[in-house]
Amino acid sequence: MIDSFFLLLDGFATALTWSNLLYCFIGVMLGMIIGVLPGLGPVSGTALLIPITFGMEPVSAIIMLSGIFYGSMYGGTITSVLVNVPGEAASVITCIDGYEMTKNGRAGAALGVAAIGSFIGGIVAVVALTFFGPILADVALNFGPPEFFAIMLLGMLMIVALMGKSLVRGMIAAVLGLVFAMIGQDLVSGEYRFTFGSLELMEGIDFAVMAMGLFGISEILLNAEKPTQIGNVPKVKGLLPRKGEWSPTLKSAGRGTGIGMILGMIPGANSIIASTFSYMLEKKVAKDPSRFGKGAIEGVAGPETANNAHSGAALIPLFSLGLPSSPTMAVILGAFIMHGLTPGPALFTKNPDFVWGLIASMFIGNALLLILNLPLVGMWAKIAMIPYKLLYPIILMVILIGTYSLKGSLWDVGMMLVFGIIGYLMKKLDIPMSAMIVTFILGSQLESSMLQSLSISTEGFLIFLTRPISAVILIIAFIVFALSIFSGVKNKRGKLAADVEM
Amino acid sequence: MNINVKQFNAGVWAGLVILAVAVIAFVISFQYSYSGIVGPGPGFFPFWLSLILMILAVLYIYESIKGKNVSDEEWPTGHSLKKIVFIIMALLLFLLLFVLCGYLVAGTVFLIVLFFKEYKWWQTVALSVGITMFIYVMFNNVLKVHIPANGILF
Repeated sequence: MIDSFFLLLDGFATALTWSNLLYCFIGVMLGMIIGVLPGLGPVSGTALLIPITFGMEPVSAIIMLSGIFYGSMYGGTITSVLVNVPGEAASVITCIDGYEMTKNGRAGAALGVAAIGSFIGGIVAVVALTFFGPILADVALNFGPPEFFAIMLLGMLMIVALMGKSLVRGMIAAVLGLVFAMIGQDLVSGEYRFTFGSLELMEGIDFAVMAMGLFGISEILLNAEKPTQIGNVPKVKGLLPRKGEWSPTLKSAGRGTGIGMILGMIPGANSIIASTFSYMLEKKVAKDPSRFGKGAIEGVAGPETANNAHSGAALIPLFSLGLPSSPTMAVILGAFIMHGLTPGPALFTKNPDFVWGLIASMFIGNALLLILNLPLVGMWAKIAMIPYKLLYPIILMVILIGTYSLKGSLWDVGMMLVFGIIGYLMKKLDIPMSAMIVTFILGSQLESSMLQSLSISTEGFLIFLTRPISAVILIIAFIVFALSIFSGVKNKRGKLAADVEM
Repeated sequence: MNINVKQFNAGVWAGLVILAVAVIAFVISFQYSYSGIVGPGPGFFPFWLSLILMILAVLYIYESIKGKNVSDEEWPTGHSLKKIVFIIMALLLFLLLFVLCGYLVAGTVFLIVLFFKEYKWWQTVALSVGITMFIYVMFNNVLKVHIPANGILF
């Protein structure tokens, strides 16, 4: 515990250098913009910036990319509250009471409460990461390939179990991701697989290419059918809640933090589940539930806190186990690997400067966001007003050039467009893309951990069941899987259904 | 019960495409040795994954025929379909021009095509040239990521 504290102080020394402060600032600003703009989500946003980070030090690169991730959570709220259009899926719930508050002339208070709640949720989650992350990593240091195989399998199954209406389609997405991951050279045997004689496919498919296509291009195509109309943005006055509202606001922020943190650590339980859950809880504990839907301040504070706590907590399994719980996390994991870092238990011991610098930057980033958010609300609202007809060609162009700049290869650009169309079709068919990209990124690790396990095993596949930890994890995975089949048969999946980026 | 006929077909078609992919992958997987020196070889994963995918594709087709868990999304028709095809064509045009004439021409033409219907002609040209140049300078000079200004033709 106390070690973590001192290491964190060292981390601040890294994060507070001018260049890293600047990257953190750029990251959270871009995150806000991505959150505010329709048509550009966190996955394509982070993937787009990966080529830019090539020349940077790993710690600066990841500081910036994570800034985008948690920054977009703040940004998504602004349009939900002001114009009833969620900038990010996680802010859908905020529309309900947030927009009502705006109609009552209380937009300022709604935004203020959301910002404060987000800050509380974000900071508490980072504190949890500071103290809980190393402990989890310590435990995981004793894990061998069988345990990691089991954890990855559990993570994938959780994502499949929690996303989408149909279990079959979720499974299809997951398996397709694994199949795509096999294209190129096999790390274990060195054999080239599924290359169809193409030189370009020998290198495999770049995860950033896939992410930009699936989440960037498809989003633009979907928006082209039903363009989101953004009406006039109301004037924002006064950012603080009334005197009597402070205590209920802080209480709901507290509950939201708890919910967000717990769900954040569970792979597949996306931020929309966290904010929905929080909203339901607030409604339940309220003395007068009829206020909800008519501008209840708790209905903004709770969910907004929950989704930020969620995004912070989602970093805990990523850092300590190397397990991404959502597509955005998967892209950040890809960026780690690109910069020569392996997320996982060894990260805390092998690259302490990196980890603690990053964690410290998240404290700074959350503080920056709070400062940027409140006084600059007017400016963010103006950005939301940029007409979409002007915006989407620019976004497309940046995606095209961003993909090209990864390797300077037009093949990648073509591939990205193919994934764009695949993504669009998947969305229409309701096959969850999130499951596909997560399994794609974990694919080669899943395979190699399995092969390694079998090579150290004397009893074949039984090794996964004779080692206690992996056996327990696999049993949990099996139960999760069985339950999701059961819920599928009973037709009870409807409520969970959502393919969300974060 | 209200089954969307179009959706129903789409699910079946998608299932068939996935089934085809799975079968091809399954056939190819036999080229790689199933077992290696220490347990499974490079063919192990492809074999099982494509087998599982085949089963899932069949289940998906079955689900779609029964009209169970169908997607709520509607397929674009008329105007919105045209718009999507238009965007995809513009993207392909960009790719083609990029190869032939380099980024500056490709970018400008791409933006002109997309802006043309929405803005006056002089606004369209000014916006397209301006944005293309801005992105070029940003990537080449500020971010130091090289984008070729010329293509095969000139």
